[in-house]
Formats: sequence, structure tokens, C-alpha cells
Amino acid sequence: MPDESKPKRPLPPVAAVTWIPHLTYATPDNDEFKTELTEDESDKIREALGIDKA
Amino acid sequence: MNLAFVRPRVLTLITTHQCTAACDHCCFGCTPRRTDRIPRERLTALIDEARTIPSLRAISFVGGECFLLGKELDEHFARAAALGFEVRTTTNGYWAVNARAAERRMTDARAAGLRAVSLSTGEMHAAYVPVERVIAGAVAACAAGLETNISIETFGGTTFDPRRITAHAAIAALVDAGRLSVSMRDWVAHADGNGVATLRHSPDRSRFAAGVEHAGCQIVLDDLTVTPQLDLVACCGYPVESIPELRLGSLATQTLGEALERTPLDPLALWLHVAGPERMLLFVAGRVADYALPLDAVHPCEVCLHLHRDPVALRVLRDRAPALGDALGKAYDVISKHRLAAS
Repeated sequence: MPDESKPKRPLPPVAAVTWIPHLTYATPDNDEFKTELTEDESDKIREALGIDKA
Repeated sequence: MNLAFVRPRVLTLITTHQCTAACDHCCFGCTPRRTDRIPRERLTALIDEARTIPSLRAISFVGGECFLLGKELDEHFARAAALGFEVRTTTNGYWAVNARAAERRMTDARAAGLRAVSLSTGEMHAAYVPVERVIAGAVAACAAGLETNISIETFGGTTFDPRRITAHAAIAALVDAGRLSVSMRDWVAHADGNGVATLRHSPDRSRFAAGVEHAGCQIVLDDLTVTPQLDLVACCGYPVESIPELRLGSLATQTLGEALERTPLDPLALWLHVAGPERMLLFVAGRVADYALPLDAVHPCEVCLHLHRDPVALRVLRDRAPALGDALGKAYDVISKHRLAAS
């Protein structure tokens, strides 16, 4: 059983980034991005790439 | 620059600016008369220092014409190979005066540790190096077991017919066998106007033409270059000696590792790596009314050069880069980790 006694740290909002075609060459399944990018970071990458938010 | 974060894989050494050719619009302005080079002892030391950069996988020896270094070049190949680096080179093939000479040169280079060679030709190169030598050199390189490529320069109106290469029986057989690749590359104007011919390209070659896909620059921060003046530069593109912003410091008085550690990471380099120069200029165009994109640019490096020389673009990008830096850093981190693992 996991230790449920400790307060959980809230997870950052996760952004799906499979729509960033440029990044797919490096991360075919984008799993790493999905778990690492916050919504804010995702928005900034989208801005840097000039991609409109879907 | 944190070397646990920035993970260059390739070190390109512009060993010399001397060349047997003097191609019009040569990216580095190389000629037989130029003699500036990385001193022999410094080349040796740089190869040794490359070991201190954990992510480096390959060392690429270029010029000018690096085979003018003669047997010394083989010594550098051997040293780099002994240290575990993949050893690559680019040459115009002048040394392949006949099949026997070509075989001897490639066999020696292979024995020293060379693994991959790219031979350059096209209208500009062929004015100085007969195409027959490029063919003989490529055949010999394949026979020696080297990963071999022939790179043909092209531009609008070029008189060079690539079939002089591709239709040659021996070349065609090697290509069919998967032992040789032939590629075309756009020959572009020298960054500082050191060229005579007016180079024109078809409008559909523009980097901003409809349907052209834009991608991040895969060489900036991944392929570092050392010039004969011992400048360390953050990329290996053709205007590498003409964009001061990409310089990472002098290696005249410090080691490779020291230069990298002491130089702060430029957020624009991160942005280039993740987004590429075309998207960065489109970013500018979206914020500056009537911004004139360099529609004549047919090579990403031309776009990058424009970006670095346009004060309006630089101002817009530098104003926004700090806010995007952390996110771009994360994207770079994932890309470079993945690429390193795959290499």
C-alpha cells in the first residue's frame, strides 16, 4: 500500500503536445513532453513555434 | 553553459582555410593562397579536450581542404578514433588523381580511423577539381569501407549536370547497393559578399514558399565548430564565421571545456534549436507591421544570417526570449536527450 498519510503535491496541468509536428521527430510518442510540460510551458512553446492554440 | 544541459554531439574542426580550389562564393572564402590553420599542436590538444565533453560522439575534420595536411591528418584521425570518436571528413577529392592514388589515400585514412567521408562537387568545385577525381575518390572510399557521400552544389542556371555523377556506372552501382549516397545542396551567396556570380534560385526553393516545412535547427548547440582563428562557434552552418552572436569564446587561451562552461547560454540559440530560424522570423513578422521576410533565402542558414543581422528582428526576439527561455529549455532538454540516446 502506498503511504497515503502524506499530503500529495498537486500535479501540474499536463498539456498534450502531439500536435507540435516539429517535436515529433525527437519524441515520437511525446510521452516525455506530456508528463513534463505544464500548460503555461506548452503555450510558450506554441508561441515560439508560431502555432495557434487548437 | 551547463554541460549537463547542453549536449553537443559533434565537434567540427576547420583545420585550415587553405584549399586547392577557390570556389566562387565559398562559404569560408578558402583559396590556395590562404594559409591560416589551426596549429598542429592545438589540433592535437583539441581532440584530447573533446574527451572532457561527455556528449561528444564525433569529430569532423573540414577545411578548406583538410587533406592538404597530408600524413598529419591521418595522425589526427588516429588520435580521435583512439579516443572513441566517430571520425568524419569533407574533401573536394583533389587527391584522387587516379584510381591507385585514390585507393591508397582512402585505405590509409580508413586504417587511421576515418569512418565517413563527404566529397564536394558541382559547377564551382569542378572549375578546380575534375569530376573524375570525385568519382575515383568516392569509389575508393566505398572500397575502403567508408560511409561515403557525394554532395553536389546547385543553383539556378548551373551548368553542372548531376548526371555526370549519378549516371556513371560505378557510382550508380554503389548507390544501388546502398554503399554510397548522392545529395544536392543549394549553393548560396557568401555571407560577406565574397563572391562574383549572382546566384539565383527558383522561387519555389524559398524557405518561405508555400508547402515548405519548417523545423528546428538540428545543428545549433549540437555541432560545435572551431575556426582556424580558434574561435569556438555554436554551430557548423555555412555562415558560421560571420555570425558573432554564435561565438562561444576563443580557444587561444582556454580549453574547450572552459570556453563552454564560461559562456552563458544564449536563449536565441535555444529558440533556434527548438523552432528554427524561419519560425523565428515569422514570429517577428507577426509582431512588426509590413515586416519583409527574406524571401530569396533558400537555405536555413541564410535565414539565420538574416535574423542575426536584422536589428528589428533581433530586438523583437531578444525582448521575448527571456519569457520563453524556461519552456524552450525544457523542449531542448527532451530533444537533445532523445537524440543523444539515439546516437
